[in-house]
Amino acid sequence: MTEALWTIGSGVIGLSVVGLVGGALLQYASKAFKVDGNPLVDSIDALLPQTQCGQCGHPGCKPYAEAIANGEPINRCPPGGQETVDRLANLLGVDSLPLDADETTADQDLVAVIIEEECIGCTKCIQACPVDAIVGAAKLMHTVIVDDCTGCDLCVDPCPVDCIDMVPRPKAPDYWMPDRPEIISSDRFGQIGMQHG
Amino acid sequence: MAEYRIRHCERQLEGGIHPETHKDLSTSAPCVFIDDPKRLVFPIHFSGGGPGESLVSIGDTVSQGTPIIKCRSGIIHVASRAGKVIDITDHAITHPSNDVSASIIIEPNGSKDQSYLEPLVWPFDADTLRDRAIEAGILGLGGAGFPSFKKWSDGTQTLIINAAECEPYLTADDTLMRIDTHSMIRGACMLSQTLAIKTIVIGIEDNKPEALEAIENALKESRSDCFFDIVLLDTKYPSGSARQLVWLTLGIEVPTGSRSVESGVIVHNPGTLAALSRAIDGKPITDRIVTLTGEALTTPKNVIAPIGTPISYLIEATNTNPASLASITVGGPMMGYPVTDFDAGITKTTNCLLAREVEIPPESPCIRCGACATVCPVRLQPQQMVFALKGGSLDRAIHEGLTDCIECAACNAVCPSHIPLAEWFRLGRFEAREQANEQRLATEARERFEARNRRLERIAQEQEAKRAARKAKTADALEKARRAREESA
Repeated sequence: MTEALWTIGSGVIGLSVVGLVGGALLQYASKAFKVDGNPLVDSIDALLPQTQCGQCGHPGCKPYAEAIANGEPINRCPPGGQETVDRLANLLGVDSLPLDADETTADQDLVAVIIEEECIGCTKCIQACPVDAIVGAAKLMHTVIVDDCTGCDLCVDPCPVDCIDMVPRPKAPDYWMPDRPEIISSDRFGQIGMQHG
Repeated sequence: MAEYRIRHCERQLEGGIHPETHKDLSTSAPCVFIDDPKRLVFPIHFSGGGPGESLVSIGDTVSQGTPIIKCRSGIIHVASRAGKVIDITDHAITHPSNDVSASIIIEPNGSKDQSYLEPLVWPFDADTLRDRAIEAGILGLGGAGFPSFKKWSDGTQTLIINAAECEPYLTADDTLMRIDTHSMIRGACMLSQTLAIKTIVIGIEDNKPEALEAIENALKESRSDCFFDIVLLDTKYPSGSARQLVWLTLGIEVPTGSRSVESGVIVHNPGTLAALSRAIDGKPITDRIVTLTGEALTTPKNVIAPIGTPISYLIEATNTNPASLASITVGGPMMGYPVTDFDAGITKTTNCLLAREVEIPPESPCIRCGACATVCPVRLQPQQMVFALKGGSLDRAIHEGLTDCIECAACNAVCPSHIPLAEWFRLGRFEAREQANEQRLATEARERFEARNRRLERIAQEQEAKRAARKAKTADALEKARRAREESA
């Protein structure tokens, strides 16, 4: 009888100790390795194009990422194009949707250009730029740092003299992209016979 | 004499192929100088070293060695012959795009005017040598055209001279090592001493006995105290690829995404080192050895030609009518690209012009034979990558290792279905670079956006604090005034 009690008691105590130690460890881990913010939001934000244009109806890419994490549709980012929608679908494990944008605005790589002769130096565009890509001072000419411009066009509307144009992003002078190798020409890589024997 | 040893490579190249080499076509004739052509063409953005800007204007008279183009990387290209700048205009370029691009056209006037740099006096430090390499326009002459000075970091252990020249038909390096051995050795020694490099390795395929003999003789005559470790490689393509060569000669695997420099190894083409030797004496790169070869040329040979010489002029130098050729391959049969406009001028990276007719049967479906995976020197699965790329899934191809592909085209050469795998990989790698670039820009945009938000928030807080302080001050003053009024009352 005592032996049986002893067996049961040692089991209960042993498992309790294991449980307590495990609980303490978990408690410690939940404090020490606490992740600030929702990691899913960061993963979604990493896929968004960071134009900060607000075309999705949110004030920037991060807020839209938060909205997506809370269940908003994933197809509201015209600058990202269908490619971004597909990547988001892949990340979130949901079916992809067609992009919610008309063809003309989707996936065009544009940058803002200030027509410098007409700029009156009102600084309105500087205040509108979400990524600090416009430099200038009051009553002095402003200009866009082309490399930093995300093409969000938020500066276009505030300009009182309409001196901001959206133009295709300029390519480097040595930019080149090969054609898709669908058609086989006789000039191609690795055209050589092998040694025999 | 310089100390050296010759050893056989104990490692085996992973994968690789044994193509017909056809090297004797061009080595059986002596290497000759090319007479000055009627015009020289220097593309401003495609001369190597990145996009550039012209330093001359139409009508300027230039000497041999006058700087004419400054690239974004700092590299300066010089006029290869004295003459007059007759035009700066869009002109055909030696480039896979077969497009036109802004070029400086110089008409040589036959004078021997030279405007060289001051010779460097030994001893000089690494920065002096880097500046000299920039002024003399030293680029990797093996074909990639990477600015050499960028490789010269301190803490480098080994200099490898890439004398493998594994690409079929090419004999430009072989020729250089036979006729300009001393310059190559001297350049290697100067670079090693400046950067405190301990060992110089020469990786050379065993199908170049004449070059090897020339190197041995030069080393015996050399008064340098550098140690040369000559590694004889089995003739197998692509043992001359930089990563593969580092592995074969030193047993070091250069990690994915990093350059051999980061593993303490510099790899240079023999021509680059010979050019460096001359640059130290003050002479910028004005000429290079070009292999003119292929069954369609009447008298194939190696030539020493001024940079900028039109391709047509070199074809004529082999007693061949340029009009009889539809296109010419720049580089070797494995990694070269076709150029159709023979007005284009050769650049510093043009090591070979190959003319021959090859019938490639049309592409058939992949039969999953796995031949491409067997020969891939990087141990990738080319068939998987090509499926991904054809299906438009760049991410999948990158996951399969696309960015590690060296575009050697060994897979193309063995594919029984004649699928242009290497072309797909080249396109995919371009797209992958573009995508990485976009990713980088997006990250920067995010950082600026967040910094701006923090700034706006801080300003708002500061204003709020100021307002609160003002309010408190006013309340204080009112309170005092009230008390004063009460006291006086």
